Amino acid sequence: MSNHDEKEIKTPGTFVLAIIFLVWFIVIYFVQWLALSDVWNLN
Amino acid sequence: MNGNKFSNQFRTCEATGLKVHLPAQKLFWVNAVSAVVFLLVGAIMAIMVALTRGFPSAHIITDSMFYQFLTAHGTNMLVFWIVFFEMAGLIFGATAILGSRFPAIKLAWFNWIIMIIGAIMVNYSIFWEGTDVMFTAYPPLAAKSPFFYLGIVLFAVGALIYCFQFLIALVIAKKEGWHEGSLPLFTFALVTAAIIAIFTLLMGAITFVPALLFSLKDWGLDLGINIDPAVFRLTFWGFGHSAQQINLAAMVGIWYLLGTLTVGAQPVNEKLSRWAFFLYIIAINLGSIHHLLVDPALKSTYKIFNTTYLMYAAVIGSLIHAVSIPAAIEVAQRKKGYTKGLFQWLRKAPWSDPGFSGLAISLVMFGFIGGVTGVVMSVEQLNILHHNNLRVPGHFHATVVAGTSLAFMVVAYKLIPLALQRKIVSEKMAKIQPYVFGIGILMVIVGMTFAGIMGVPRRSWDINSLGANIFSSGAYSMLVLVGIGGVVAFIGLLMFIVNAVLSVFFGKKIPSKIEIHNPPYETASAKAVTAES
Amino acid sequence: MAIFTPKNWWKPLHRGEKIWVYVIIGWGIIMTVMMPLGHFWGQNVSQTTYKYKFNPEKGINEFETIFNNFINKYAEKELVDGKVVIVEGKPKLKTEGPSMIPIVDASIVPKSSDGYVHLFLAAQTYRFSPIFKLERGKEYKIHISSFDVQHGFSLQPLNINYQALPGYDFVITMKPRSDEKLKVFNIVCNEFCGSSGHHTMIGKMYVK
Repeated sequence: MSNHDEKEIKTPGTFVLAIIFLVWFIVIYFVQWLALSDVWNLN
Repeated sequence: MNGNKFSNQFRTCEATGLKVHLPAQKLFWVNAVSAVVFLLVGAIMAIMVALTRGFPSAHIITDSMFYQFLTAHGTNMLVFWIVFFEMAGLIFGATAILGSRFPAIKLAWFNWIIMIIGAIMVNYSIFWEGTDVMFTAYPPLAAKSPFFYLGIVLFAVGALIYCFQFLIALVIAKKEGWHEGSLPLFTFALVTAAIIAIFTLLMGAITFVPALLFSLKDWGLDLGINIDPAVFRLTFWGFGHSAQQINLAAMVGIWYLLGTLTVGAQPVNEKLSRWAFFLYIIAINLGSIHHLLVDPALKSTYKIFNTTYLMYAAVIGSLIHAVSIPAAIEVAQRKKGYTKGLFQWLRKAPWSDPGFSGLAISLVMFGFIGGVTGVVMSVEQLNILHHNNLRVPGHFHATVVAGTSLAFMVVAYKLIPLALQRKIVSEKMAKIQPYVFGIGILMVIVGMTFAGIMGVPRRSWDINSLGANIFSSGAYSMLVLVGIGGVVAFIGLLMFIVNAVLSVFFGKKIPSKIEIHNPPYETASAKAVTAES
Repeated sequence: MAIFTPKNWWKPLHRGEKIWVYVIIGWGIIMTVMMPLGHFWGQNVSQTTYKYKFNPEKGINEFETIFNNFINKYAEKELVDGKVVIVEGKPKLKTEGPSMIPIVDASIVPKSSDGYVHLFLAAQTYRFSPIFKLERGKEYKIHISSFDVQHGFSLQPLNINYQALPGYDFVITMKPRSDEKLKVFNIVCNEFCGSSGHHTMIGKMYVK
């Protein structure tokens, strides 16, 4: 029952959705820091 | 097979074969119905608040009414609707799922009664006495009488006892031989929720009992207590944010349940899912500091430590579930033959089943909007841009409303037939309700988020009172979006409430076999005897 | 299934699951590091808070005493024919707006022993007092507290938000940027403080 050595990803659709989500997360996160740098300088 | 004096109190569900303890079903019924009653109160408050904020110059309600209605909206939705529903869920998870009985039925009824009394007291204090301190009730702001605080304390006590009863029910299930082995994932999720709930309610006691004692001077009893506003905020959010983690664990458990009920999904790796739930327990409790990031009196080091690795452990838990549930659905769908391309499994999913559409909308909105904005807001430095403007309600309407509440509503469509034995009166209305509600609440969320980005404060009756040219015209347009979205979401809520109430009271009854259900496994004592011999 | 007990669920992870778990742990570490890094790069939210004692005889706390002294010393007085108007033995203060907020020109406030100009801002129901006139490129330490209930200090249009608690003095270091074009900033209250006036509560800052 161990699928430890499988080379393929069994849920490719979900994998793509997960990557889309992660990219969205990273972009929103850094956009906010950029917005903050508008008001707060980094020394 | 052991006999058990509760064996004649069960029915067998013909659809699933689950054995349901009838006295527990009555308890489940009363808590679920109570939940929907408070949902209706909260919904009426919601539409009044949304229209007032959307069209501030119209002054649809007076300023004092607005703040009372906002307080009522917060307490009835976030506390009473959600917690009564969760109590129903706890009872269901400990009994029907395991085929076991619920212990101390009389105590359970007593809990329900004090919860109802508490909820009525709080609403009385808001509507009749004029309490408008908001759900957060920050001192030195004071409610109009001790009833507000007393109501909250009573409600919390009832819920706390229910949590202990739930855990004891699980022990009894093992001991008396009703259930053996690991708990099913859904019940495991509820255990997570119950453990967090115990911590939450204890924090709530530390917060509200002194506030209650302090307020007794309104009734002539001055105990010489002083409430420090900073300490109250700290303990309140120890209670308040952990409470949201309860809702999160319950919602995720329901997501797994919906996956199973709609497409037959099985968690791909239960070990991973269970670890993710475990992370919720250990990580959330101190992470509540993110509510206090721009408060004086706390050192930055303390703020950062609690907001980072502790919070993020919980975030990692959510990110695991966020992928584990779609993966389970994809595997189940691919098994059915939908293997073309990357997304045929998704396109061919049962989108007309409200259980599935609600699951999808809830998961996507919670994740993409609620989760992301929440983590971003919790960064110490970024919080400066977020604190107390309308982006904060924008965030939590994506988590608690689009996420938890919608998941609760669509699982009710499944549980009314399964657990309450009534057919849903209008399948058609149920089919489109998640979409109607989803679009409405999305508009509200987007409107609030962008209005907040443009500086609009939360909890304000009419921002025009500040003067002209304070906010951009874009901010006002965003508020209009909140108003319109509020109307659509309200319709979506009514669609659910009407359907649920009619079904529970007038839906076609689904018959069940009443038969003796003996505990199928050896009891602990029987095992000990067997081991000895 | 989520509703039935699994027989043996302790299985190793698939490749896809392993990748995802490593990725999100990595992202979690990046986010964890960003906050302290921000500090390292000079972005501290605030490192100084003072807690004030309540003086039961006078009915006010120390912050109010300090604040009242500050206003008496530095607030602009009303002048008629170049002479200060005295009302009931005290100079009459120039005020602005329906809430009658006094004005302080920060350029007349001298630097304290730590090299900074310390200004005091009080949140009250229902106004932020006083109105400051600040200079571009100059750094100020602003002490924010409340006289009564909790208030929210929200500087618009920059959207800078802090919490003003009674009994606590939040010291924030602020500098209007040398390239700042805006001359008028509004302070909005965003913590509910009373049904009759929370939505009207406002303050201002002018930048010369």
